[in-house]
Amino acid sequence: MLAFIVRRLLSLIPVLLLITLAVFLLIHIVPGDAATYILSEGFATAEDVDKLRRELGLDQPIWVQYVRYLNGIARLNFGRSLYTRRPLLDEITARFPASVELALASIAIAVLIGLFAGMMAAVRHNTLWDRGITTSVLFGFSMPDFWLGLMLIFLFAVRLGWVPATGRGGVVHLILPALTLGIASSALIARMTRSSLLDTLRQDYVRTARAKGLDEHIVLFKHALKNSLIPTVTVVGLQFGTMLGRVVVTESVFAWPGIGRLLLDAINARDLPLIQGIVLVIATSFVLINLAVDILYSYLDPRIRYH
Amino acid sequence: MTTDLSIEMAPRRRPRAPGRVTFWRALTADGGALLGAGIVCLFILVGMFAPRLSPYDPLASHLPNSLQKPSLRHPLGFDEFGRDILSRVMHGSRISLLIALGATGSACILGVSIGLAAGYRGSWVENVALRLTDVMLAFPGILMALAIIAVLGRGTGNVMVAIGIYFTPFYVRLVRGLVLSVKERDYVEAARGVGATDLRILYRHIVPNILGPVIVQTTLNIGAAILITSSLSFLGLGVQPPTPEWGVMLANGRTYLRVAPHVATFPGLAIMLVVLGFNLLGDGLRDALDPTLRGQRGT
Repeated sequence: MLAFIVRRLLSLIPVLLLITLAVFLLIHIVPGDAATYILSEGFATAEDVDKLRRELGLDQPIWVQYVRYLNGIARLNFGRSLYTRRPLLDEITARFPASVELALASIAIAVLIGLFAGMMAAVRHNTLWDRGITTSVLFGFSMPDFWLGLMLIFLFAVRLGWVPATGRGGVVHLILPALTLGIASSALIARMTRSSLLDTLRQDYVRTARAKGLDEHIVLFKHALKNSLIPTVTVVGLQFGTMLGRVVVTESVFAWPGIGRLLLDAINARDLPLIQGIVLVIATSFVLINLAVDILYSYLDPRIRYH
Repeated sequence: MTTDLSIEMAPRRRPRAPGRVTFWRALTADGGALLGAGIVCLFILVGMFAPRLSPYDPLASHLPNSLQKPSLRHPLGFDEFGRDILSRVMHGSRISLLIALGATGSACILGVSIGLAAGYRGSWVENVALRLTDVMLAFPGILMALAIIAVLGRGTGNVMVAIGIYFTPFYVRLVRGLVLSVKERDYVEAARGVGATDLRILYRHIVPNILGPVIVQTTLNIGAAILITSSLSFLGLGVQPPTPEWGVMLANGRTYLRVAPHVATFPGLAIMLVVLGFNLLGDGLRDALDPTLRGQRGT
């Protein structure tokens, strides 16, 4: 097990290096010159552009810039935001907890709905329940997040007035954005749980358990469910990772002060260093979460360690 | 005498490819797939003929009608500038489908080519391609598209580029895996044995045998591309107003959620319906192409 983890950690290094390279290159694929691009909205003089170019290090050869960039990252010094002039790390760490809170709440909702729906559909295979759930799953896949968010706001905040529409505060503020993000993920979890449980219920050992006269509940919860949950765990983990990318839209709908809103503000302000910093942090977290899922998966299912 | 005749007749009737027949039979027996195909066709037709079919000009505003509720003559009501929402939704399907098809199509061509090269050639081509996809897939969801638009600037063309780049690594992975399993088959060996060139082997023997999963993936991707396009436009980073794009319409409707919820409702319903159509069709195609799945709907 330890050897497996070490091997996976080592394989991460080139990926992380390439991510930093991709994020670093962002500033160089700007059409024309990055400094001109950033300043284009104001009345920038040639001197301003030159000054900014020097601040961003754009006057150096590109490999020097990259080495400097890596060096900064290694010391957790990502540079400063062009807009607020605060260190990027402060900007990002100030907003990150809000996004993680939202992502965790969404995953909790997704698992709750998804597991229950998936189990119901599998246990009551080929009944009205099953059809209803598989149809809802398809709708869940097809709905745009932001539209679902708006409709939830209209129903629960505007019409019924049960919860606040926007902002961050107590648990009540969390309900609608977490539902918005959670429903789409729950569709995937439900689909996975259903198909894997159906698969397990066809196995010989389940038939044996039934044949020796065990109670159906014991067969389901003790024999079938435990084994069928392995793929579901993977899906949940991967969904948690993609949440970090999906929060951008939902945070915008609910004015949630997370990293997604920060990214949107940075894009609107053309704050390229801040955009780079946020993208780097999200991508790195995503890769680390996927690694954790991988390790968890190999722990639950020892067969895959040897492949 | 009669037996002789039948023996002579037999070779003249070409046997039909059994795979193709069962595929069509499975697809047309699948109610969900047919419904999906119907929805997709409807939106494509509306998109193609939107200028003729739409009852009013999608850009003509008549302020006295501003935010009016749906009526018989205007079944979806008016937006904040007094523009007919039905006409705008119809034109919206033209824009969404064009962007989605353009982006998915270019991703498909690019990704399939790279995937073919990586899977067939192996060695360093494969290594480079795989490392590149690793990096691209490290940016979850629309983050990659957002980053690309952040540097290229907003607008319809850049949305297409961003979404095209987003989908490319998925095709590379899929096609490489498929090629790896197909290229060791006997018929490829045989073709190589009789001296066929690599290009001929690729296009005569490998591509036709991996086409199924690629078509399924493309169908599902078009739906996903429509969702991403509208998300980007909703955030103000994609198609710009006053173009009647669904995400743009939703972004405007959001301001009037309290007084006129219909403005935000209908564009969202249109998105959901067309994406549902592509998902149903994609699932149906997958089940019909994979004989092992036949008969166990939805698993």
